[in-house]
Amino acid sequence: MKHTARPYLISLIILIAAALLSVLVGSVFIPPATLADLVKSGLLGQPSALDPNGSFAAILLKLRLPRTALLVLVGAALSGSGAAYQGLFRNPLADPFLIGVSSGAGAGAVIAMSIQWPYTTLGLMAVPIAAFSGAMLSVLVVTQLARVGKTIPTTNLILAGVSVSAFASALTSLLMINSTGELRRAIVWLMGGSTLTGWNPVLGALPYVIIGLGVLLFLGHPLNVMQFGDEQAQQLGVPVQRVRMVIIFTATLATSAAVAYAGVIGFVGLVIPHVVRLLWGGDYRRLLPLSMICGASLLLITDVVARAILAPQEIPVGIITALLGAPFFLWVLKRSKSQNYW
Amino acid sequence: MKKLLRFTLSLVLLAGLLAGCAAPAAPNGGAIQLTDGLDRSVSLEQPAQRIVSLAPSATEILFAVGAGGQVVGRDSFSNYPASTAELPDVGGSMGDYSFEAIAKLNPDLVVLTEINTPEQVKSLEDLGLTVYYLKNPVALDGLYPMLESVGTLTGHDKEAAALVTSLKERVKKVQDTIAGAQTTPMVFYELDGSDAAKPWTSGPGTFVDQLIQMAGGSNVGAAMQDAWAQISLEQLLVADPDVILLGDAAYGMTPEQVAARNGWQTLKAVKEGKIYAFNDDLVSRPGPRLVDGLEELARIIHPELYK
Amino acid sequence: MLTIENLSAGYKDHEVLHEVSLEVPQGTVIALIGPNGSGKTTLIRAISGILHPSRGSIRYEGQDLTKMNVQERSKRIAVVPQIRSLPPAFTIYEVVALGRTPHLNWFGQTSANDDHIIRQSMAQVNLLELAERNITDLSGGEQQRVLLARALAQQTPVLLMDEPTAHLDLQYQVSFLENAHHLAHPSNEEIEMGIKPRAVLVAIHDLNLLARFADMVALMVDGRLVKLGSPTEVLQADILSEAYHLPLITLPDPSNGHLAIFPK
Repeated sequence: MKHTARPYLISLIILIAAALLSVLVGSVFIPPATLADLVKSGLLGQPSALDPNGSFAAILLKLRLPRTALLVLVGAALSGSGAAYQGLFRNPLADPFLIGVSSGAGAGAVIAMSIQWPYTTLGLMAVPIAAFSGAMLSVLVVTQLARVGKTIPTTNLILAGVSVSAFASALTSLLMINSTGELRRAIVWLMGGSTLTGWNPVLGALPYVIIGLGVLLFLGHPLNVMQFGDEQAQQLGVPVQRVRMVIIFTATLATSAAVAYAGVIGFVGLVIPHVVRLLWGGDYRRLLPLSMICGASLLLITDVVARAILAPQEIPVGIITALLGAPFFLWVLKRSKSQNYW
Repeated sequence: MKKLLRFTLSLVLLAGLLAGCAAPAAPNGGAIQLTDGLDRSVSLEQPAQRIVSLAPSATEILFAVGAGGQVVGRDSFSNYPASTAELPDVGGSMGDYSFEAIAKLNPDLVVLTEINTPEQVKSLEDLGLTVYYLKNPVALDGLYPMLESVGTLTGHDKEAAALVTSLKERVKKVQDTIAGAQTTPMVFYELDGSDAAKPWTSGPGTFVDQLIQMAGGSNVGAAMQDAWAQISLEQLLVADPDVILLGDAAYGMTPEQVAARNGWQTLKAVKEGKIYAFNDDLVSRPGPRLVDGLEELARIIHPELYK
Repeated sequence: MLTIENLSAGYKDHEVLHEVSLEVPQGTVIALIGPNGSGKTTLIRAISGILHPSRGSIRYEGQDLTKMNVQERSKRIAVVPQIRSLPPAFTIYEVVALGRTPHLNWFGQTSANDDHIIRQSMAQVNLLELAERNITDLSGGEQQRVLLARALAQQTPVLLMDEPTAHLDLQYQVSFLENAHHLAHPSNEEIEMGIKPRAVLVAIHDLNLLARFADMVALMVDGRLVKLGSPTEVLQADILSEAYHLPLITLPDPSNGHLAIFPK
């Protein structure tokens, strides 16, 4: 397997471009001259003459930059987990929400939204904490339900995941119906999009995403071997059950953090691994890091669209990813020459 | 169990991360100091001159106390008075406001209400803006302190006081008129009738409920459990209201459509043609127009007292 | 080399193998035969570590295999499974390279030596020219040979094969089994080059090819090893008829003495 640097270079260039776009585009247009002056004054540590109120600086530093950083983390988490799950379950339809993360997070978030929290740092973090806990708890329940003796067969995981998700979704709907003012807030959260601004969400999500994705990057080769089934993989020396548990835990960690701070954003985790596979092959040692990078890019680009297209309205990102993700994937599929890409 | 251990560990880690963060700083000093609906201490050096409103009720209150000229931006749903249409729109129809647009307007005060979230308060604070959160009043009386607060914040104390006095007078006038009522008609206030077999109505404790009572009527929805409640057609037939008010008239519901609904023909109100479109904004927004709503309700419920 | 003593194993609440004892010496090919359900596959799964024995032991050169971790075990035992559905996105080289997994680090990085072993394994099954072809483009016979090459690349002293000729055309069956025989009996030049004879256990259902390649035959019926010996000793009409519940006759091939087995 030739491991060239080219795919990484291309992906990183796209990511940098997307990040720049995300910082430069928004519902407010910052003239290039002002921007240049801001950067200059910023580096010199002086206030900018073209930005007397400091509102442009606030927009850049307190809104766009942290949002860009958060979306990079979220996009990478969703796509990396999606790729890992597709390998783990040997199923092209697997996405990071397969075993209950999104519905668990949704239930947690909506429960938290129905309580009036005091206006303190912890109170403001109640919804993301509840979402994160809901997601992790949901997956814990799923793994326990799917357990057979010492092993956790993948079929059981999928079945348990579907049932727990259905239950959690029903619970969420019930809570939403019974609420009054929280309904709109819950719907918006469930459609995906960061409701928190500033650097706190970035700091909150960072450790979990880094740990989760960092560990996943080590599991590319075992995932390759596991494509031949649990038995053959074990006969080739891969500790299948342990690898499975680690993948589930780390992917869940990263995805839970992503969903807790950015809501449920679909499609990114499902589509990006396939696009990367079509372009650069299905070797998981490469598929995982490239999916993370490309996922971050896709999310940044779709977020720019979500912000700019109906300004000053901001459409929840999850809607745009679904609208754009599907045709984009079909286009890539058509362009692919290889038939044996899965 | 290993997974459980890891799970609790994550939770502890998360909590620990946040424990390090300080609580949001409270500003101090300033000529105007108030405590808002989130128990936050808000202070201004001088009355606010550049105000952004993120809720229709806040916009109405601002204009009502005479601060309309100081409003520089508003949310998409603010539509009263008509002049608000000319003000810059800062978003909000899908729950997300454009913080960038708000920041660009460089406001010295941003007013939010309960339809906004505490997270949004925090986000605006982080941008260095002064934010005031208006908590919804539970009863009509709770409206007056809100008006006074806004008056103080905008330098229109006198006008706010005058407004409060006039509103109280109008309310008293309605109550005096209604005191002469012989009957207490049953009123059904429809919020959403898309499912004609289970329409949505306002339950106990809501403004609609209170205002209907103050207007000398009895709210069918008072028997429900939740503030936003669905009533089955069967229950409605048993209650057999004297008057049907269409709060969903703004969405196109007409008395003719209601009269044509299957099973509704036996209702007294339908037979007597006592189905009226109603401007829901008058009774759902916690602002001075609640009194308009009260007067309107009294006229519809007790036409005999208003000849 | 591989010693199985009083091995009993099964699934959940029913035991499939009952006190099987078998010795697979180095440089020997043992054919494992018996009707369906007799436990041939179960035995292979137990030896390779997929199934945990309920009683008895499995040892390699005295070391208890059940106490070893997965990686250590896979350096001693390799399995050639039956071809089931294969993931399509692998080239032959990549599949055979997976055989090196027990000897590689977490990232599966291969050295020049690993590459040499991979190519050598492919050459041993005559698939070297097709190295970059996709595995799904091959015929069933070629695919089975790829799996054999993978097991060879694992460089284990013991090789287990589970019905490797099940889906193959006759000429491929013969050449595959000759390959298996060769693994246990390398030529003198090969021995001088350092290639060691292996212990090979092949589960097979076609009785007529056994004599060509098997040094010993182990007959299993209902989870028990009922007969172990040379092909001539085990392939007797009365023994087989009883095992397969079918009257059978054996007929020697006049040219080479190999036995052909027919139903009566």
